[in-house]
Amino acid sequence: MAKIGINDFIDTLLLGGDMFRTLKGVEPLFDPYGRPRFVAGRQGPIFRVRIGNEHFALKCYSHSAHSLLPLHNLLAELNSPLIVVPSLLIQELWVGHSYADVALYPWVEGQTLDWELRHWLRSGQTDRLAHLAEGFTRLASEILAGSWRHGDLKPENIIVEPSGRMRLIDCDGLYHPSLSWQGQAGTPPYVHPERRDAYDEHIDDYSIALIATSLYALSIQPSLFREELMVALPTLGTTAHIATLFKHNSHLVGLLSALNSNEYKITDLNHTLQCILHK
Amino acid sequence: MYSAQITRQHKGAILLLLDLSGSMAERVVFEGRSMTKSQALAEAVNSLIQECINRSRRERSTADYFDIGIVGYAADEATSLLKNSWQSIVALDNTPTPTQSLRLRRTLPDGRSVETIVERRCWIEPEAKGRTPMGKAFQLARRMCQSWCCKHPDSFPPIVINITDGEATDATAEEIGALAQSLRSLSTNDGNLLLMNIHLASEHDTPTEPLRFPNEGTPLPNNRHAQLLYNISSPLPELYNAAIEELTHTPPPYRAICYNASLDELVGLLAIGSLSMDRII
Repeated sequence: MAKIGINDFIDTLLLGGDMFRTLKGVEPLFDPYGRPRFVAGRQGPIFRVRIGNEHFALKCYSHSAHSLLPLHNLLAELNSPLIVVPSLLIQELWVGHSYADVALYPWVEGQTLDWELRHWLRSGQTDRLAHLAEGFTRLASEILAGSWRHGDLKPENIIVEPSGRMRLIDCDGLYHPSLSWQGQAGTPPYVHPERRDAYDEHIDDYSIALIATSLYALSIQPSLFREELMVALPTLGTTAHIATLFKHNSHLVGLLSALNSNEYKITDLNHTLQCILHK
Repeated sequence: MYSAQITRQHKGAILLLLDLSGSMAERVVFEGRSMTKSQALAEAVNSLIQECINRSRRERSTADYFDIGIVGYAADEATSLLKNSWQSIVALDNTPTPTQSLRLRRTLPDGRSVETIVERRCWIEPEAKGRTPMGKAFQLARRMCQSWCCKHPDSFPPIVINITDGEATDATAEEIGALAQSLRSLSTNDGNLLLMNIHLASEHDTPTEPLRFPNEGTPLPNNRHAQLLYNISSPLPELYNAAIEELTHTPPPYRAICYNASLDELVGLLAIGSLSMDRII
């Protein structure tokens, strides 16, 4: 199946609800310029839509998502409060001359961690960064206590609810012992170079350590923020400087040094996170 | 090589070289509508810019992932069709543009056919005049890409897509070969610039089988111009393999040339040519 462009999905949604095979009454929501509200994801655009009075996020796959069916069945079975669970609908949206696959997510009020981070930095309310760091550490600890891993953990895939609680979206790279690998290896720079096609309970270790140390570093010194901070942390001279920021918390220093390891697995990661939270 | 991800810090670049010579005034049928070749080309290019903006769309804003350049060549000159030689995708999105209402025929799931009107933004307008100064276009492209590579040494290298329906009138085949070689020699730390050539079919040409992304075993048309375009086009890196294999059902490695392509397949070919968009993270 040829890749479907975002232009094609937009044209289709503007045609109206008849283009869905089973869903009825789907209406896209529009931005102030009259354009459908969406964000681009690596597997396709995600639109904000309404069905009746309820809001949803509609992920439209540019390629077939048929191989994700077992994973989505498992997500429904797990029904974890940490995950926003979608309904995967195969061959659902008529685009051009064929049906595309979509996933319908219940709408969760809140913003992504990426948006929150930039927003608080831009608005100068940097005291909120410590809350984000703690909230993320708590979320990561809960993930590590379970039987599954997200597989593509990054700030864009984490929703921060108004209460501060964090939840995960876009779990198409999920690890679970009952599943086989779907060929999705996360997003650089949140993936350890040695992870490659590893598929085990350690696939989130590096991204957890990277995001946590970045958030704590920014909460202490917001001026460190640059787009490439998370890329730079493990490799550049910033590491030594950040270690000095963490001098009162040996667990954070340990986490920071783990980023430089040649091993994508981090030993006792959940214990370290617990220590950071209770410091 | 060719493994750099496209981020706000390490942007990508796409430069389109558009043949706007007199032959582009020829009438064709594009997506079921009668128009000139230059109108079809403008529609396809505007659609590519919109797709690039869409792919850079993040929450509440367009992220600065790409620089776009568009050079038109006609009469005796090659000039940038945008305000600046390179424009960021954010600037293009923020540029007030005229819109065009297009009547498109759509087939519904139940087989019914309906006509719909869609609004499209237009960054470039169709033109067709004079001769084909492709040599000047390659020279301008080299200057633009050289400065871009200097500013973005760690980025995915620029992709240059040359779309033409004829042969250069300002340079010999050998000169075009040398200019293209000089352009392709530019590089970032992630690899050499990629030059793709799309030759559009003309009804005046001798009928020739279309050639899309040939590999080493593909026989070339017995045509001097096709051979030249093959020679000046870049070998494509692995990231293109899956999309091209799906299109051609032949094994890699591929060359970045499409010869005698129909206008109706232009949008799809541009989508493959601009595959670096898949490296946005």
